[in-house]
Amino acid sequence: MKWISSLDNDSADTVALLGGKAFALVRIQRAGFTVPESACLTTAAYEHFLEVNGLREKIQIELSRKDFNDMRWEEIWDTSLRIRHLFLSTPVPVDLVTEITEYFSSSLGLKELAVRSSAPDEDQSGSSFAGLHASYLNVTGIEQLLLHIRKVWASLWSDKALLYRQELKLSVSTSSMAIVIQKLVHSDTAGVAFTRDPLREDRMVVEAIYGLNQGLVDGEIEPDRWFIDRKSLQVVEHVQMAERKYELAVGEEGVSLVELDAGKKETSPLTALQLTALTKSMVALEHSFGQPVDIEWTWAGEMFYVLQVRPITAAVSGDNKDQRAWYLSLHRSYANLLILRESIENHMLPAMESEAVMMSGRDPKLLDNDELAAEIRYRMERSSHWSKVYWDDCIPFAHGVRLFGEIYNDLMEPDDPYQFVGLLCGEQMLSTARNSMLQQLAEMLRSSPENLAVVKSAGYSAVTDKNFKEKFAELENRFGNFFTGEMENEQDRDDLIIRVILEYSRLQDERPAAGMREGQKRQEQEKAFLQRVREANSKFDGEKLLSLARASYRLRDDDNIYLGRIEQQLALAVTEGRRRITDIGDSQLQITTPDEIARLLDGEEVLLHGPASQENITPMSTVSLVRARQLTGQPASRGVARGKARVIAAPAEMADFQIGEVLIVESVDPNMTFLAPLAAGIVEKRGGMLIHGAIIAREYGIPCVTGVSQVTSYITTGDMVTVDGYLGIITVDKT
Amino acid sequence: MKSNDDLFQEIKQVLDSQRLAVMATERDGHPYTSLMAFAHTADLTTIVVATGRATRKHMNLLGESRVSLLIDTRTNSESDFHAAAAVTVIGNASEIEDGEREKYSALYLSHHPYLEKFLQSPSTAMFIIRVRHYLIVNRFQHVMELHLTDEMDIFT
Repeated sequence: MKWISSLDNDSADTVALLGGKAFALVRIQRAGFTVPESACLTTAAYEHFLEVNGLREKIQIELSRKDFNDMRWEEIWDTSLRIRHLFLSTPVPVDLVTEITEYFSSSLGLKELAVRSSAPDEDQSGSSFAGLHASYLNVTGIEQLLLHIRKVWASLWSDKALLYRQELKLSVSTSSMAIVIQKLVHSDTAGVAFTRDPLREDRMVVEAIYGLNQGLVDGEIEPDRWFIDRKSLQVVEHVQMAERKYELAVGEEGVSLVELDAGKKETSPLTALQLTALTKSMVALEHSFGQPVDIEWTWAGEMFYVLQVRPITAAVSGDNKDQRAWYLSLHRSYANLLILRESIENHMLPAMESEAVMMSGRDPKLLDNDELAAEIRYRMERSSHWSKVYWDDCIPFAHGVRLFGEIYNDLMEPDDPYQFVGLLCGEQMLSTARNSMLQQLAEMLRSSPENLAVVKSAGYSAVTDKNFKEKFAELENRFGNFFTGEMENEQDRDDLIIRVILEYSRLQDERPAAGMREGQKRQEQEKAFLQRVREANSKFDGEKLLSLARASYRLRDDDNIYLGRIEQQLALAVTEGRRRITDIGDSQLQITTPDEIARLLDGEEVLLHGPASQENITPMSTVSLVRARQLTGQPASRGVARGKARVIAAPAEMADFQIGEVLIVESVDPNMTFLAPLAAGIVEKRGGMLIHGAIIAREYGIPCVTGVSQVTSYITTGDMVTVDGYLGIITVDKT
Repeated sequence: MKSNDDLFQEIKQVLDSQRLAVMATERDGHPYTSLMAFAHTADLTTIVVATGRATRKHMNLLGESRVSLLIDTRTNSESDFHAAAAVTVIGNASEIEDGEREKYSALYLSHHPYLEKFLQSPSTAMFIIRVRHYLIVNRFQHVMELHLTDEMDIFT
């Protein structure tokens, strides 16, 4: 099979060989339109690359690490990142390099090329999945061309594609990717045209911007929009979507946003004459393709080019349960992330902080029953309000880390696809600041053996040291009590923290967070990255991007702690409420909801549900026959550790944690990360490289494996476990 | 959590799909492996093998009843690394007594009808292996154990 097709008018190559986009280019030429000078790297070239390098099985192993149905969206992103890294770190076979070099040196030239995905399945599936695969503009030189070819190939396995794998029938054995390589057109005006408005059958839609079309396709630039009557071909309406500010222009390497000159800002990107010509072309192309189409077009001087034509297909809607659209919306643009950051740092977090402080000023113990019921309801409402804000703003903001990771990997081409995390961690995080305070308190105890002995036997009430008491109060003030809601009595809660501090006091030496230890290394990495951003003429400002990514990484942890403080205030009020209700059995009272407690306080009759409604994650005692020997997950922090397992099912159990144990948990809650300095390793059922357990483990340089299905069911406290943070494996020795 | 039954079915599927097992025996501390036709009971408690009486493995089995078998679904292709499953069996072998010979012959021949002559020869000995533990590996490095006894250590 041929690796390169010249896409001539009389080409007989199939869509399976050329992919949808390249196949359409042949049809567009036959319809009498000009397309940019193009060639196609066929699916046979992709297959050759896979075959020679034995990549099929490597992709298969990545894809079958875990059942897709058990994967969270973050884990799918991780899988995609690893596959992409596999492609980028694998060379294009020499025979293919020779053919590409010879062909493009003589025909298109190796300068200013556009490298676009052309998947055979993408446009055939009956649904449109815009933006699944990658395209790159202004690629120059054979090295860059080969790199971008591999990036486009890898995008067959993008996280979006994996999310829609069933609809796409994505499979290692049958899916393939061709690539359109074109001479880049320096366009003055470009846009997208729909010969039928997806929302109204009687209209056409034209969208236009100044500069390169990618600005519109990527959603970075708001277009001017025209609605045109399909019968009369007259303009019905012209809408300027937003102020015209920028255009995407060809830079030295890649493309960059450039501010429009004053004249362009005031003038619509299409003249009336151009619009009429475009409308006629739309009619002709719809006729030629035999169905309504969407068209990417561009004008360079007097020349009109058609870049791409596809049938208009129904957008993927999905039912209400389909959360994938929401997941996809998490892919935020750089500009959008900057706005989110401003709002989170300057408005949201301070507001959460002041609300928590205000709540802590109203002691539930001092309220009468009616007031307490009202207070519980108020705190419930605030807690659910902030929780919604958290989902709407904070989780999408975490995408800043992903955006940074992708840009970093593209520019730096590191051996380890998670090297970028080294640049982000080590920031002063609330959790590491809190752990430092715990270490200081432990040091105070350790320096006075008699004090230590007294506290050990009698708990917090035996503390006489004024400095210690002040520091302890400061800890609770700043971070709340990690055991809030577990114990009714404040004294008991303080004793639990004392147990944690006593365990900290047994640490041989202070364990500083890794970022602090490796400051020098981090500085060098930062310098190298910033220099590369400048050299590459990236459209990003390296320092601003890094600052955004660090904020995103830090807030991933911190925002949860802020939310945790509000939830703690709710828990305090609920605990007080439970204490006052004396006419209901303890076991039933434990499972009442905050709302039920409030109603009971109001004197209402409440029908309580049985304990069956409570989630139970304790191991099934009936299963003595099945044991796990090796469980696999994702390696999230490097290293190997062996130790006794400590499975934490309820917050109060955190106080039992001993130095050198391996923390095994459904998901590490940020309020739980104080265990990290004590732990030999962390194993989490929840998956992802950027979840709290993984972040804190990397901070302290301890091994961590995440995404281990059912780990809390298979491992019990006391089992000896080995955590392999290089390969993502937990080995269990039952005792 | 995977139930006994799920894991049982996974192991059974591997055994049902295969005709041959690698059996490890031992003499004077030295391991020795042989490729064996096998049959298993539906409840997975028992595996039947047959061997010539003059063989080393036969002699080994008479000296040490503890054996291990490997049964796997590999196809000797690249895809084995993500798709193949392997079952390790730990158990004790004993020669079949006359009273049970007919029952186990029928089981063995239902799996391997072409071995009738071999099985009926007086020079062939039949052994049953009472399984104590199964270990199954899939997804490259995911390992689960099904214990048919309550021993914690599979090497006791």
